[in-house]
Amino acid sequence: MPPLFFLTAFFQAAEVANRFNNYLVLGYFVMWLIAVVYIVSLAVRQRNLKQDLQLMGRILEEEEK
Amino acid sequence: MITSTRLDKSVRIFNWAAAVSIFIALLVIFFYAPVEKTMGNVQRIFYFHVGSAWVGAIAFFVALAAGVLYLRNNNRKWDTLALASVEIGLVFLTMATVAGSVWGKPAWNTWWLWSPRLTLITVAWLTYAAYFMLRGAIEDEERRGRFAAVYVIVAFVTIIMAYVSVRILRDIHPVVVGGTMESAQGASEGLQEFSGLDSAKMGITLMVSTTAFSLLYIAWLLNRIRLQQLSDAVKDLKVQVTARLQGEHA
Repeated sequence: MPPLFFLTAFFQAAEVANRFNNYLVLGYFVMWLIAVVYIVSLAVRQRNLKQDLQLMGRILEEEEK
Repeated sequence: MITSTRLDKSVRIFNWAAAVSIFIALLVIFFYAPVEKTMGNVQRIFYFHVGSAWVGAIAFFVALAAGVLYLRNNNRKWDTLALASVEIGLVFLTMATVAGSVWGKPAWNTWWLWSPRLTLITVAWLTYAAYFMLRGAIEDEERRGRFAAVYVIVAFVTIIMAYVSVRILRDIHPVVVGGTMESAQGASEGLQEFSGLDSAKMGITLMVSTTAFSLLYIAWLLNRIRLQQLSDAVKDLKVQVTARLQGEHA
């Protein structure tokens, strides 16, 4: 029956295309995890340096007084 | 180096450009690129794997150029550029390696193989990781800059070797860009399942992805340079504060 044939062919093709999708998800997840960890490390380092900068500024101000 | 206000403005522009381009790249990868016939959807890792590996190599080349310029001019801005570029290059290299390993499991039925390309990539990763150890081991700023510049120039040999390895040695890793010997690809022995770019759509998707990663590299580079400038400012202030406190106690 032609419609059934096309439906079966469609699902078979989808099955072949999707058989390794767990690796696709894992690959993208790990890549983005590395990127996010790096961005967070940049943000944390910047925050710490800004805090240090403020502290040094305060110490110098107090010294001048 | 660039003035602080100009740098802040550039950081903002490139942060947005990188975010938008990565979003577009994801759309193109998942909705425009065709499904690869042999492997199916998992082949979509290819676009980020190649994009990040390519940009990683560019980052190390920028570090090499900065190293040469530092040795010529002895200007600290080149040392900062080299440091920032190596750090970001290492992040991209890690991303490419991990993505390649995950893709290798369904493609080669193993997470890792000590093939020439993969071995040389490991050597490159370790060489660039050691760059930070070298910097950490030298106290004097000028000496550290000189040693790091020489090291970063020599270290680029590992990237060239990794690039050339699949072209001259028998390897399971495919050659994506440029001509190659058939034996080097392992095609005649049936080692390769993946036959390169199947269609123009895949080529366009790869270009979009590589452009997006390039913008991400520039954005991260500017952020990292700004961070280094901040770090230098803190170091200078610490010296001032220490000198004042010591003067007070003397």
